[in-house]
This record gives sequence, structure tokens and C-alpha cells, in this order.
Amino acid sequence: MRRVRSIYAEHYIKRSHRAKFTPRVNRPWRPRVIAWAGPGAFMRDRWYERDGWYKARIQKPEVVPRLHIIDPDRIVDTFEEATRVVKPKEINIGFKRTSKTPTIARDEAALEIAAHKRTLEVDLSQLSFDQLSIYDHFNIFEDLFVPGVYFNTTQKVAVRYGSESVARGNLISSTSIAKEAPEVEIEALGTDAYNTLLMVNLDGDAYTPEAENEFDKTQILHWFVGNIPDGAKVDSGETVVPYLPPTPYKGTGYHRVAFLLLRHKEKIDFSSNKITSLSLADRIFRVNRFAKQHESTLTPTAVSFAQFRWDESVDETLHAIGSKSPRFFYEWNEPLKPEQKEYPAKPMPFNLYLDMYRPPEVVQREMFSKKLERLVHDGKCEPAPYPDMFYAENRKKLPNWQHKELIKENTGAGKYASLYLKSGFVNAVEQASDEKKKETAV
Amino acid sequence: MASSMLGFSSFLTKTTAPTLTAVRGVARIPHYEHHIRFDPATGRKRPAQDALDRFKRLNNGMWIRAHPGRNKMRYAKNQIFEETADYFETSTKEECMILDKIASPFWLRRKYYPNDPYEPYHVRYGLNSPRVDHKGRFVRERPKVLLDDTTAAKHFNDLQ
Repeated sequence: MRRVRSIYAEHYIKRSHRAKFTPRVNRPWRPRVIAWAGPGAFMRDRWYERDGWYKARIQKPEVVPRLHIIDPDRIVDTFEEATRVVKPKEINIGFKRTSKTPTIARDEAALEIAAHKRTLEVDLSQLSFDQLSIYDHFNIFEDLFVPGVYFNTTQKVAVRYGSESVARGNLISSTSIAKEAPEVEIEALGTDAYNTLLMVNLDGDAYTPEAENEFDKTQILHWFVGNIPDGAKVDSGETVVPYLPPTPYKGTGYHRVAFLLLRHKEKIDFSSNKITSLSLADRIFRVNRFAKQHESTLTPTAVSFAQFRWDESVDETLHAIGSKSPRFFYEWNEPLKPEQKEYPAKPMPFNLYLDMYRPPEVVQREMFSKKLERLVHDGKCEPAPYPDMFYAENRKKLPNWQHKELIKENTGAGKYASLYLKSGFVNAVEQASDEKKKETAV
Repeated sequence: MASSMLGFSSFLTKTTAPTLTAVRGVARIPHYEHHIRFDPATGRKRPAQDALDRFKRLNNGMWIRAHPGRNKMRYAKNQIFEETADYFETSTKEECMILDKIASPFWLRRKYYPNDPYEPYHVRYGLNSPRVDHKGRFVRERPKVLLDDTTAAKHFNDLQ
């Protein structure tokens, strides 16, 4: 650091303690490059890898990106062990499974040639899906009945919404296709028995709080058709509960909707299960209790399920039954902030630093007063058609932070969203994004 | 001189009676002598104009400054620099103290401007650091009090 001598240095004034030079500071003018740049800093080929204004070659440590590395030496379990779903299978409440091997005419020689030429095709419709692991994965048996209970699929059911079928947990593209009751084809087993079809939403009950013991699970009953004669269509059964399309609320993700098929020898009187009211709360159902009640007569034979998510059609369904469509939002945690310092040691961007510690009430009051000002002066408070009409001028004229705030105000981003809302500050961000979507929708 | 060279000396030079004009010279003083405690004209403190050009004081005592070197070699700087170079930064405690000293008392008063873009930043919130240290000395106050406490309380009352 060069020490400058004052021009007044030689002017002696008694008792003035005037400084003759600029002060001595114990830090170098330039950083001591060798200390942290490494020994290669001033080597012969120092111009090869210039980094920054200090014109030295620095040896940075090699930073390996943190990827997920699969080390085969650390894998001990076999594939079967690793993928095994450990769920207790104590009680089989279904029928005994009869393994049927379909008889297909086989020409071994032709089959071998086809396999060699890779033209051999397997007819999947001849195969039956027997595994229960998919129901374990989605907790179907636990949520319908009780842990430890299961049953094998002993009757074929095909549930179809137009082109999309309900199989084993598939995601239905749009809930609007489920406005009408699906086409259900039940396999005729030949005996003189009756089928009962139940359609339940396993995740749909928003009314009952979670029970202490988890065994008493609730569902929403969407469709109940009982006493369908063997081999007949679903229409010929008695509709105990009329069809209601699935109603997964917005923000709650995917809901599992299951179609449970039960078999019984004689007709059962389901008049106690009849629901006439339209409200969703009256459709709260407990499959476990129902199954327990008719334990001696009913036997489950098949269950197929699909996943539904919110759609505008869900809003229409809920409005049709006379209730409002709720909106669910995830409550993010408050961002962690360091303790505020009156004079931060490192230079901080003042507007961002001070905004971080401003209480939300003060922000709301500021936004509200701004809104009122605009209503009084302009008569309306609407978002500007463009983020900044005079972008080029403002870029030169205004400081950078002020320009950014102006753009945010015009577009209604962040805290400014509440300027352009009709009511209050609850879920301001979501409401603002909803309104934007409505504007852009054709 | 140029006029005499060209030969228009009699036409251009006017002879007038000598007038008394107060000439204020700009003394060539080093930068650390810019704190003028008694200026020759009025005998009062003069603020350092360079400091007033480069820094802005908020009503809560914080001095704001632009990032030094923000316009230098922007083409060679990275994306992070591009975003952060235009920030207006806070100053440290010592810097704010020094700036308060080299500015005159006028600049330490509360300023009320209409449509002030800095309006939300004149008041600090959430400062919970102690006002007094273990020996009973004030932590946040300046060591030398410019005014007596009643006068100071009238003007500096927004450390919340």
C-alpha cells in the first residue's frame, strides 16, 4: 500500500497531532496470491488458466458433482429380497384361487422358430393378473378392511370410462371422463349367485378426523349397486346409492378410487345402506364395518382401482350437489433468517435485507394504503398491461432496485399480488395465479 | 494572449475599473482533510460534498452506497456479478459514524419527501440486539454525542 505524504506535513502546529502520511493498515494492497492460489500460481505457464484480475494461475480443488453413485460392492440383498413387500397375510377373506392353465395348441417347432426370429407374441388377454403386491404397495386392503386381511382375485371385472379402463392404480388422465357411470363387465361364473359392486374413494373423506386406532378407516361411497344376477349387466341390479363422480379436492393430490366386487348366494336387503341426500358428508362409508356386518353372506372376489386428481369437472360436481369446492394449499415453513444486525458487517443489499425483517402486518398495511391511493387517484387498481411501458427510460433513470420493484408492482408479483385481489390476503399467491390462468384460458 | 497574437488586442480587451470580487479558491488538499470543521465564509461545519454525492442517508442512520467497481469491466465479469453489481449496499457501523461526522447536522435530520421510494426503508424492524453492554455502556449510540439528549431525542427517534 503506497503511503501518501500530506502537503501539510511540514506545517507544524503545536498540539495538533496532524498526520503526516496516510494511515498504515495491516492488509496487503493485493491478496497474497501464493497463500491460497497454490504453488503453481507464478509458474512459467501461468497465462494458460487465468482466473480473474490477479492474473495468476490457481489450482482449485477438483469438485466432483454429487451424483447418486451405485456401488455394487455395497449391495448385499438379492433383487427378490430388496423388492419384497413385507405385509402380513394372515386372513384370507376371499375365495380359494383355482389355478387355471389355459390350453393352447402348441406347435413346438414353429414356436421355437418364431422365438428365434423374435416374432413370437404373447396374448396378454389370456393371462390373469394374480399378484397382490400392487395392492400392498397402495395399501388397498389395509384401507378397505384391516391390516392382515387379503383376498385373491377370483372373478374378472372390467371397469371402463370410455377408452380408459380402471385397472390397478393407473392414473386417469382427466376426472371429467368420470362424469357418467362406467361400463362394468362382470365375468359370469355360471352359478346362481348375485354380485354387488361398491365404488369407494379411499382418500376422499375430509370430514372424519384420523382415529387413534387406525383400523376404523372411512371412505366416501360413490356408487353402490347390489344384487346383480350372475351374467347380467350392472343395470339389472338395484342401485342402493346413485352414482357420483369422484371428487378429489384441489391441492390434495391423487385419490385412490376402488371398485370392490362382492359375491353372495341370496339377495340381501340393502335398504339400511340407502343414501338419498346429495351431500358428500352423508356418503361417509366404512367398508370394513359393512363387510363385517354381512360377513356370513358376502365374499369379496375382485378389486380394481385407479387414481383421480382434481379437474374443473370436480368443481361442477360439487356445485351440483350443493356444496362448495374447497382449495387446499401446502403450508410452507417460514424461511430461516439470520439474526438481524443494525449495521451488517458485510455490505448487504439494503432493500432486500430490510425487506426480509419487515413484519407481514406492516407489508399488508403498506400494500393496502397503496391500493387505496390508486383507487382514489385513478379510480381503479388494475395490473398494468405491460411489466414496464417505459422500460428503456426507467432502466437509465431509476436505480436498479427501484426499477425491479416497479416491474413487480406492475405485474403483481410477490407482496404486490394483494393489490389486485378482490378480497383480503388469504392465499394471495394462489388467487393471483388462478386469475392469471383464467385470463390466459381461451 | 490569443487575442494579442491575432492582432485584435485593442478591440477585445476592455479596460474597466478594478472591482472587489470575493474569490473562493479550491484548495488542493488531500482526501483525509476534506472534513471542514470551520469554513472561512461562515465559520460553520461544511459537509464533504464527495460523500454526499456518493452516499445516501436513511432516516434510521444507515448510509447507503453503490457497489464500488460496478461499471468496471462488466464484459469480463460473471452472471453473479451482473446481478449483484447494481445492488445498493449498506455501510458498516464505523463507516456510518464517519459519514455522520463529515456531513453537517442538516443531513442528520429526518427527511420527509413526497412519493419517496425509500419510504419503507426509513424505519428498521426486528432489531433485538441489546442497547447496553455488560459494563452499562450504550452499544448502538455513537461515542461522541453531537447534541444534548433532549435535542437528540427530538430528531433521532426511529431505532425500533
